[in-house]
Amino acid sequence: MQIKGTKSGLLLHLYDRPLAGAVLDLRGKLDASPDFYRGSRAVLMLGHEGAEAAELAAVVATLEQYGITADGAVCDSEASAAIARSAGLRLVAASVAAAPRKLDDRTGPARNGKTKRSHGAHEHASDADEHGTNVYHKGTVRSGQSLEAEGSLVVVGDVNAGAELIAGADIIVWGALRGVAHAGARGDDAASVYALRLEATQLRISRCIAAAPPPDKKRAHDPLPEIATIRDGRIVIVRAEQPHR
Amino acid sequence: MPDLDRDIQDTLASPSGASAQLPLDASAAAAVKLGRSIVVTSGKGGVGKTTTTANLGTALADAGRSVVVVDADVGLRNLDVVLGLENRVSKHLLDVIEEKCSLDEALVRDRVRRNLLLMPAAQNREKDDVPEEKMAQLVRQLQERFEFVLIDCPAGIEQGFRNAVVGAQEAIIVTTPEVSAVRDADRVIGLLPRAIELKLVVNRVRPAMVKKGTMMSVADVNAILRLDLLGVVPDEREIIIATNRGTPVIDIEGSETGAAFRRIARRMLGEEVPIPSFEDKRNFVTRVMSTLGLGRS
Amino acid sequence: MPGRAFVITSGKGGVGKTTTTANVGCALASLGKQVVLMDADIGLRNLDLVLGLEKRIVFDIVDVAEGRCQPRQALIRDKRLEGLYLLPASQTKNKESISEDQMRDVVRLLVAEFDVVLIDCPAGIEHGFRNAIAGADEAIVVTTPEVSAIRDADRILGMLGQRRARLIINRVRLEMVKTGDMLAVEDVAEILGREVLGVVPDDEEIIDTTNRGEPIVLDPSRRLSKTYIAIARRLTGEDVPLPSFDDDGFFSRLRRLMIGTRSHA
Repeated sequence: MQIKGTKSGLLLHLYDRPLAGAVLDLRGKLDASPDFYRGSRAVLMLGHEGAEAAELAAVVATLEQYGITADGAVCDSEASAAIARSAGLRLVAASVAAAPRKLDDRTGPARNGKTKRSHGAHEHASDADEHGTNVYHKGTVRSGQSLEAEGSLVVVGDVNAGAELIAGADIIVWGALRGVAHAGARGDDAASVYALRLEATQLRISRCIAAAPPPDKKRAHDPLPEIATIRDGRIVIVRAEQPHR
Repeated sequence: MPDLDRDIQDTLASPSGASAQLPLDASAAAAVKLGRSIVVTSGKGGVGKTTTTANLGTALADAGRSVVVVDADVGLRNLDVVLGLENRVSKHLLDVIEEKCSLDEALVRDRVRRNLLLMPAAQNREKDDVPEEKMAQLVRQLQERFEFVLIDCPAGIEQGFRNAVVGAQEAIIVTTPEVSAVRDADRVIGLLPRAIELKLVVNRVRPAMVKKGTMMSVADVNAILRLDLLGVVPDEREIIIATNRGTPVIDIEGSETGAAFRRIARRMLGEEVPIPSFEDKRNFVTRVMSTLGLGRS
Repeated sequence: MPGRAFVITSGKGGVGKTTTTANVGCALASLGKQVVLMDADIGLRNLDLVLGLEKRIVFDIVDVAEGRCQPRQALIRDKRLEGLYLLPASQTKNKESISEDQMRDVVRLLVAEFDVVLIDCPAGIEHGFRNAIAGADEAIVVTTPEVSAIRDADRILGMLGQRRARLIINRVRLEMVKTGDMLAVEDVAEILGREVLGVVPDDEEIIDTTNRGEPIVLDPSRRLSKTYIAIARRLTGEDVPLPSFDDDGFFSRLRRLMIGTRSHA
């Protein structure tokens, strides 16, 4: 069992079974400095194998005793995902277990203020409540920049190659999406990615990943708005004119 | 096949405006008009930052302005070599910051242009040695004495880059029409403070390759970077020769590259100079006029 | 028998480190070696672009260092060449996201399983450079026959410690050497005082291949392809003679200048 510290909290590697062993291990490590991690959040990496729900509950409870909140799990199979759900842990994609991104200066402080406003104005208010706050951003998102939203993410502008968008719900780009977009990052298979020009390097929805098809030269001069969703366990791209859902 | 004329026409739609002069500092007892501080940066190495800094500095000096070019590449300096001044460097930027010598003792005057000076970088130290606030102060001091402070930025986005940027009010982003260079330029743009005014120079353009479709056009580049275009510089072998000789390429007779840098300098001074299509030896304006039957062919 | 790790460095940016890493890597794989190409240019990654593997990146070196994935998960297998893998850099982070120790650990893991690890070094001599050389046993210093590049290469050579360093002289233009407008290969080698691993002629075709993500080595009919294969063979210990360019090294003012500058390093 390994504990790794990242900027956003702790990552616990819980690949070995039985999980009960991890509890002992955990106590041992944390007792060395019991208050060191107090107040942190932890993401549990559960790997492939399943386990007893009670065992995972014991791990979570142990963490609580040291003031650490387990608030997510990265699961590589349905077996491990099942116990994570039973313990009330939200499923997190590995890329989201990373540090919360800080917007660089040039991206601008789009989150403050706008977030609160869009929360109420959002059409599907129930989605927003369920997922969390939405983020609205105006301007080009540059290579190496990263935008994150608990709910939906709207960008009015281009998202250049090398940039990253991550949202718990939908992603909408009013411009060219050339970077990487991850919608439904917390495990929502119903999430979608919308773009005026869908030229993403890579698309991710929930736990599905799709690499970009080779560029369509014919369409390059006459791009159409498109939507990416999951159908039959795979990401498909449909033209926006076609009836959606 | 990309239509070069139309590409350039599109990019001309947002011409670079008049030079942004800084307002006088009203709080100063003696009103000192500060010079412009401009960092020349790119992210990717080898796209022509140093050549651009040297040539623009020289061209601006020829236009009668007082110019200092600052080599911010501590540890790997090259600006002195490109200007042919390496044998005259004794003190450098770090000596001034550490107060081991005065500004004047470090500045090196150009052999040909009296109003062009160089602030050399230290060769044997490392970029972490220069604290950002001190660099900003130094740039400010130079702005009080010179109309133009051009800062040659090192490649990358590490401390050296941050030091070069800290004193700048404007930035010239230099890129070549290549995927890697454009990607790195985009990254740099995302890291520059909002307050800095940005302009783009596309360097090493090979019109024949653009025509063949084996090189990005200027329009392709700017569809991604979305900046005001300051200039387009063609590629030619004269650049290598000039650099090796320590002569700015603008001094080489008949050099298209040199001519491009001179045009950029004029735009920096507020002149509206059209960006020519390099496919045609005559410049853009003449071509338009001749199709209208107005100019000489 | 553990593999060897080489750092591909230069000091000066834009002389062809990434292109060299990609093509020498492909050449080694085509000779039957198991090769990992590692991009150490965190925040300004380009190796993935040059290899055309950008769209398949899920995890990167920072993920490996922070334990978010196993090293194997981050490796991207090139579908065009057997035995060629990429360990990409992160684009959204910066060079402070990883330490020299972490780099050393990752390289150690890789040399245990692969024949060759090529580390693509960022430009400059800052944190990124120190990270890149941390895990390397040997260095390949790329330079062009130009004053600025040679000067920076010279500086780099002084920072490589005890590592063996060999040169690749890139973008040589024979016509210009003949007219005296460019330094000859022998002159460059003498100034820098190191063995030459390879000489790569300037070739406009390289630009297009790097833009399209198709390393030139993948097309055996191109002349540069043969050049890189020769370099790869020399790296594996074969004695492949350098081509004679029929150039007379000449003593120019430039050379005296270079010898003079070397004493400043």
